[in-house]
This record gives sequence, C-alpha cells and structure tokens, in this order.
Amino acid sequence: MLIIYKTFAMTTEEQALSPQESLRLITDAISRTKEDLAKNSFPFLLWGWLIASASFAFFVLHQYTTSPYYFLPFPVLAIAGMIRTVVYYRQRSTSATLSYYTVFLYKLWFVLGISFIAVVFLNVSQSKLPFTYTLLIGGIGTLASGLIMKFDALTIGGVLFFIAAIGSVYVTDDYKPLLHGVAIIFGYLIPGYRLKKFKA
Amino acid sequence: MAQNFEELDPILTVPVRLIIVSVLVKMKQADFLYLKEITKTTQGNLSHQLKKLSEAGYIEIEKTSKGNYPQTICRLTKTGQKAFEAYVVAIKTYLHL
Repeated sequence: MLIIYKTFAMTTEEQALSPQESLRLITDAISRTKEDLAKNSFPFLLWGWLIASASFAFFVLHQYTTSPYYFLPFPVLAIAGMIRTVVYYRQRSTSATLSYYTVFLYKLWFVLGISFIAVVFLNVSQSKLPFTYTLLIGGIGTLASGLIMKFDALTIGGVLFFIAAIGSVYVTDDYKPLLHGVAIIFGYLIPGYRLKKFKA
Repeated sequence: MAQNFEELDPILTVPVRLIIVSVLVKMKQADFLYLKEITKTTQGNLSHQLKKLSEAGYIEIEKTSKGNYPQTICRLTKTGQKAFEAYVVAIKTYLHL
C-alpha cells in the first residue's frame, strides 16, 4: 500500500486516477493523517500536578495540623495554574495543523475546567467536600479523551476515576482528598506521561 | 452521478490534489510542511497543486508567519467539501459499492 501511495503521490504529471486508485488513495491518505499528540501536553500535565499536589497538601494540613487554612492549597495552586497557562499560550506560537478532534478535545477540557471550578465553589459554599464530583469530572474528560484518541492508558485512567468517585462515597471525609490525589496520579498523570512518550 | 471515468471531477483525479483534499477533510487546517510530508511530493509540485485547488475554490490558503519564517495554512472550503463528497459517491457508484 505504501509503495502504491508513494508512486501516486510522487506523480508530478497531472494524470487522472482510476476510481479504484482514487478509493485506495483516499483511504490511505486519511489513515496517514496524524498529529503529534504530545506537543501540547504541558498545560494538561501541569494541571494534573497542581491538583494532585493541592489534594495531598489539603490532606496533610487537615489531618496533621490545626491550621484553619487547610483548604488554601486549592485556590493558591489554581491561581498559579491559571497564570502559568495564560503565559504558556501567549508564548507559544499557534499550531498551524489542527485536526477536528484536537479542537474538540481542547474545548471539552476547557468546559470541564469551568465545571471543576463551579463544582468546587458550589460544594465549598455549602460546606461540603467536592472530591466525589471533581473525580467524576476528571473521569468524563479522561475517559472521553482516551476513547477519542483510542489510547488505552487514558481510557483505563478514566475508568479509574469513575471507580474512585464511587469509592469516595465509602471513604470518610478525612481521606477523600488523599483518594483524590492518588486517583489523579494513577488515572491522569501516569496515562498522560505515557501519551507524551507515545509516538503517533 | 458519474458512471464513466471521464465524468469524475478532473480537479480531484490528480493524485496529489486528491491526497490534499482527503487530508483536509479530517483537519480543521494544515500547514504547507505537514501537507508536504503527507503527500511525499516536491515543494514546487505541492505549491502548483495547492494553487490549482485554490483557483477551483476547493481550499483557502492563508499566508502568515511563524517567528521569522513564512507559513502557509490551508483549509478546505464548503465547495471543496461538497466536491470531495460528490467524488466519493461517484467512484463508489462506478465501482458498484
């Protein structure tokens, strides 16, 4: 197939293709359309680390100190993440080659990011812990991304988030942030680094 | 509906042009270097075929710059999308698929 493809593609004369040749060429050209999935991984991995770190810091401060500010790691790291993300996108030149599915994934994660902030705000304002719902949001994004990219590690990561969300109902409030952090490492960061290494 | 070889869209029966349109169907946009890599053709031939597609109204070409380098970004137009769909229907009909 590759030899046929190269033979056609190198043809500089404007000779007409037969219908059979056309169909083969279309199929092959579409299958060769791939993007470098790893090139825009930085902000995704950054947010994974920030939220996992905030979860662990929340757990330690709440469990082992008497500090009334145990919740502060989340807003502080979220603001730091927003600033760094804005700086990253301003410094980075816009990618000239974009598939429709990449655009879809960007918009999906943008909407889920807004949902994450809204869920945290709604729960905290009602003096409730948001971790069950933020795990579900992470699960939606990770599972959808894995299925769309056909990347098994992310798909499994997404399933792990859903299991963790259900499991969080059976965990005491004290250990929910710990479960949250562990779920982000195994469900998001490890699959994220595997995706970064993956050569499309 | 094309039943004969001659009835196929002459713009798309040229290999490099068909590859470009097939790729752009799946992409929101693609730059010149990406298309060169996919089509495995020469810079001169690719420029020539892009110009033909642009003249037919099948693609739009945007010239920008990336750093200090010029950048050519291509997108499929609605006309190009319809022509590609009609072309696929025509070859499927011809092949009795």
